[in-house]
Amino acid sequence: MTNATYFNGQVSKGFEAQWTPHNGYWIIQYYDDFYELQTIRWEISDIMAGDSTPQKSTFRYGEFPHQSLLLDTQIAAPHLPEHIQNHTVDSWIQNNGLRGVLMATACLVGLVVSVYWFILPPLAERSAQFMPMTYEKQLGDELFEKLTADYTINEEATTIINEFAQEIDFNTDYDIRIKVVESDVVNAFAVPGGNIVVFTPLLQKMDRPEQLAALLGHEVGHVTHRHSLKSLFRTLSRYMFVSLLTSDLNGVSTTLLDNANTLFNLQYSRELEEEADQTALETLADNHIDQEGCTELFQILKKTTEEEDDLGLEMPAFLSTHPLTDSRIETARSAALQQTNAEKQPNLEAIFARLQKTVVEE
Amino acid sequence: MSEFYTYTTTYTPEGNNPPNTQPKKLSFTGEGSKLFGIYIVNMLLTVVTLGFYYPWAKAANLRYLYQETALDNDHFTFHGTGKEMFRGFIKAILLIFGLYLVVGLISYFATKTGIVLLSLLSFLVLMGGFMYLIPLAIHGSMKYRLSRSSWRGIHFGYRGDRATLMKEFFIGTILAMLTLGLYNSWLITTLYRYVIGHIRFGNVAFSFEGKGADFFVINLKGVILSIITLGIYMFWYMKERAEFLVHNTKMQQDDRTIDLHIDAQVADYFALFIGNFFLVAFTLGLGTPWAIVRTMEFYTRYITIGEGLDTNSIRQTEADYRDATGEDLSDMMDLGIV
Repeated sequence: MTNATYFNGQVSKGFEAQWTPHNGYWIIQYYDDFYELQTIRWEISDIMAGDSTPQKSTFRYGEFPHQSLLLDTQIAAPHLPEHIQNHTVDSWIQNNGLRGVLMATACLVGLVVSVYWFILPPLAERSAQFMPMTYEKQLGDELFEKLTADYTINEEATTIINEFAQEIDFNTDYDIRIKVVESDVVNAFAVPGGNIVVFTPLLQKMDRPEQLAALLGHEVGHVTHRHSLKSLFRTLSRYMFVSLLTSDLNGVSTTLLDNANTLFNLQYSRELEEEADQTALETLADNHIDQEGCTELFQILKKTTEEEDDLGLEMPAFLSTHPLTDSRIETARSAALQQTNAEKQPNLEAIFARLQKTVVEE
Repeated sequence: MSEFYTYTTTYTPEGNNPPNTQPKKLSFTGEGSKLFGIYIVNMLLTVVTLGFYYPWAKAANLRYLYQETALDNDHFTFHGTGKEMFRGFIKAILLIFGLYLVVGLISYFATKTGIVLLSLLSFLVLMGGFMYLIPLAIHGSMKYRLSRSSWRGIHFGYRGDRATLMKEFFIGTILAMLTLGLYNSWLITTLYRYVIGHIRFGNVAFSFEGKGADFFVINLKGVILSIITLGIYMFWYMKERAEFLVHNTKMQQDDRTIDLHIDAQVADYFALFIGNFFLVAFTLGLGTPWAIVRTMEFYTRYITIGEGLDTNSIRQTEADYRDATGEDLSDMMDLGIV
């Protein structure tokens, strides 16, 4: 027999009671308001576990409104029937204490980090493949508008560069549209859906049409393989993941267009760059254009980097978004060495010469 | 909806437990570190299950907060379960998803066909959807949460009628729109009056007596002075709002009216707000459990339940209720119902 507090489920008054556990049932006895001894029998099978602390445990019984009994946790423990032993997460935490919390924290951090770095990127890139091309174009056009809004477009150069591109078969399903914009950074980038932006300084540094063909082949490679869409998806999926974790869902919907600028900063992975190089080399070969143009393009970029390094300037924007590695230069060089179908390109040369005139440094 | 009126025979407290009607306070004994333990496991499982653990996480959280809150040394109990809330969670997802789907489809056809009327329609459907879902969420979450809350075996309950709340909400929102938000104070007061007025704790009834005009003055003064003082007045504003809510809430037990009082000073609101801000912002949210504990301690420390509530004679009156749709719906729309 043990002291307990009994609530009858009808009034908010605790009755001092005697609790006696038996095999298969509990007996609770108390004096009611009229000092009459009441005896209550609880069948074990209908007893429900309520909240418990290290000091007190609550048990409930029967249909709603439940009767309840408050018992000393230590005393009640040995008499608890199997079905009301707690196996919930909270009790797991209580059992494992600080170690449990630390373990859970470590698991959570590990999980979050691995999802962020290893699981989301391939998943996002995979899902980028499923976006319908018409929608990709629509999205790309909107992003393109936003991106180029702050720039002056060199209309003349734009017309000529598109003429140039018409002469080359890029073997792509996308409608390639190129814009030349005035700027003082050496850069070029591709927007999903077929828009390509080339900055004037990069054109100024070129001296052969093969170099421009290589650049366009490379950027078209990014478009055809949906690289910027993939990178965009990757950035977005990470942003969404972080938003979900911090339960800030409002931000997600507005991210897409507001973050258009991140396209400039989308860092292509080395694999994507190599894939685009490969496309550029194939395009050059298919069009009988000298693949040496690709090597020369890389040389130009490398030289610019070194010059600007010497001047204490920042790395040219193109290279910060398109990492240039020695292995890429090497691949382009050995491809060019093996090429046998390179021909002179009088058409391209004529157009290129006209293009050069429109972007002369003042 | 069947209410439970079986236990209405008058109880005469002349036996071995005398009435206990002195003023009292709630106490809160929760600890940030323990709540953090629950939190971190919740987050882990929620992430692992792609969010589907959320209802269980919420149940674990509420169970802890309730069981650490006590009145006259007896603790509150939250009876809700993850399983019950999971059903509500799914329904809530479907409702919100369905609304967005319909709105999305209409606006898709609007851009496709270029019919201006269609884009207007999609806007109206979205507005209408929220005007329907918000009172639904308030009603459902009050109904579920309160019925799953008890103290000494006596359950809380919510007796409001969904259709009436919807009507009040609808009219109020239209008026608020027409007056460019000026009516908001009256809308909120009306909702408080309706919602609080239908809360029961056994046979103890709650009521709210605040006037829209008073609330309007508080809000107008609060906003204007907060702007002029670059936000410093905000803490006085917080105090006035809390006092408006608490001092106008009454309890009625048998023939006694019980007042509530909150006596926190401006400095206390300042300490609560600034402390919580740093706890949450500088820990990337990991300090949230401590902020919650501080908030609970704040309200239990400063709110007094006035003379007259006899904690020994509250009678069971409310029916059982298990539909948790509103509970999760209100979470998704971030309504922040207590």
